[in-house]
Amino acid sequence: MIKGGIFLKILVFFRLGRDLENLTEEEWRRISRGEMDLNYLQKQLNPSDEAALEQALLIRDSLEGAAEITGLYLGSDPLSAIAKNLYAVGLKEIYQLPVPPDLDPASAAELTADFCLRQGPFDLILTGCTEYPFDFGVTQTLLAERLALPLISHGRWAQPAGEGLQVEYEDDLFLHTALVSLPAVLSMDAAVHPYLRIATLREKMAVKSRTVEQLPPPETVAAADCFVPENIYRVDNTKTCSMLQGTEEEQAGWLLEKILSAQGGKG
Amino acid sequence: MMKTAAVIFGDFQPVKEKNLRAISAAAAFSSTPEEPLEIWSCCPWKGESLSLPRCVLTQLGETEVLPDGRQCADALEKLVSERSISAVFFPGGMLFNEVAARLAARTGGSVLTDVTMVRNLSGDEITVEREIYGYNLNGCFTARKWPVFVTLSDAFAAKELEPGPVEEVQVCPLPPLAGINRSASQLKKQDTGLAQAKVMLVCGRGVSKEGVALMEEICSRTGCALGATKAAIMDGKMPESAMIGISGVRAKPEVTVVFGASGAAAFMKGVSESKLLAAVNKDPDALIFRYCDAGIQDDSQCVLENLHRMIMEK
Repeated sequence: MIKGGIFLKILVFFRLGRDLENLTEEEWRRISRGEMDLNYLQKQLNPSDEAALEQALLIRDSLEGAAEITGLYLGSDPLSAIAKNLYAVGLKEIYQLPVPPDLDPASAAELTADFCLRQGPFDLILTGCTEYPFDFGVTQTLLAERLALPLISHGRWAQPAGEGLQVEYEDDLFLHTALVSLPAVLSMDAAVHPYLRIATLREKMAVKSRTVEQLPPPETVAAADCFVPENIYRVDNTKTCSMLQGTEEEQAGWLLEKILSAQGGKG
Repeated sequence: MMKTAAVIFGDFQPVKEKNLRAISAAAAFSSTPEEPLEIWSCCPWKGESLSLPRCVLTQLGETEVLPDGRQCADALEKLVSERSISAVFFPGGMLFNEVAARLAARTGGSVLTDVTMVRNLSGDEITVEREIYGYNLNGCFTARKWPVFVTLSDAFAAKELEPGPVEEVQVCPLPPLAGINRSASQLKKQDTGLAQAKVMLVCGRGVSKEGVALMEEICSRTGCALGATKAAIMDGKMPESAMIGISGVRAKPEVTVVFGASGAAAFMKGVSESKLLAAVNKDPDALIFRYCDAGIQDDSQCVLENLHRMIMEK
């Protein structure tokens, strides 16, 4: 808890996703049929979890280091370079709980809650708003329900304020500023600082021997039906793209003609 | 017997279509059509944005600001139980994805978020479709634990309903919000005309700040709308109100020209209904070229400079 001498214990739980940006149509169809192993794709931090990690670091910065950040990685892939950067930018400890990459939100929430109860208490639990691969976006809600904590579910920024946290967050219509009592759960969405900082080489060298603490694999519990996809398919939105030839002027002229024609000749 | 309810934001014009989806779904799947529909509004209802069908309207809260998700869930949990509701339909989005998940956890029911289609709803189960893998694939999800709490994506097709009498208006007060003390709530800047634009230029991450200035000038002189990808907005090049895509506006212009964007699925959802979609990107293998009608492989800055010069000469 934040007291006179202010010290915050922060947990960030995060997952890895796959870089799906440049897959071909055929690859997507093979994925939908379960014919492609996604493990060969480049792994990356779930982008909204990345924002959560950076937010934790920003809170620690504003407390001039009077905060301890623990990372809980839900996944079985080796973290290696990502863990090195996380230790180098200042995470105190990183734990790995080996679970499948498509772990359902209810199980993720339950496992994270168990971790909090065993390794905590934590003043602040941070994560991203959505998760790979199914983007249910409810893990943080289920966790807040499980732990009976206040939840800010679409945070943009947060900073310590007195004995709590001042937070800017949004819903579908409004932008809110609020003082949140701790402990609380905060999930980051359209963060003001979405990108995780990168450690310097010196910082990385200083932590080169750090390793991720492995937790025993949890007992598997069947996911609720509502989180298990069936009949996955791909809608083919491809078109035959005509690549414009000619000089740069001719190409720009073609665009201008289309723009003005649609506008009824305005311009 | 399948008794349904629709939850709506309140009488806010910007979310009129979202409200309509929830009401339309609740009406379509009710097995008691002879009874007035249960509609639960998070804010006071004035009837300015939308005509309601025959219903019993319950208002939560008395202010024009959306309540917190936990407050909503606390109030709705009682209503679900008291009125023996089997399925609750919500507009999709930030607030109700949270509320639906809370209610499912508390009641032992099921939550289905961002549903694009309801394939089947029977007494035993409900099967829905939603987009997965970053909006690149579709999957079916079946829930068998009741009650079910369903939030509807903007892609869910809503039907206009015949206006009917509001047979009763009830008020269900919201409980106090513990742990979160709001000091300010500001209405977000809503649609900037992007959704109605005939011609739209879209700025991607690959456009420089100078390029954005050119695009603004071009739009100003031609009456085009100017949108942006989420990546360009996160880079600080454009305001958030310009966002096109899943998290922003889904536009249906006659012509859309996208500059310097890779073509991520979540963005493409916002432009895919353009009659003519053209893209400019210096990467010949850019994903976006697979999904547009015409392409220019060139640096956006060059094309914008030429376009700008031609417009100034006119």
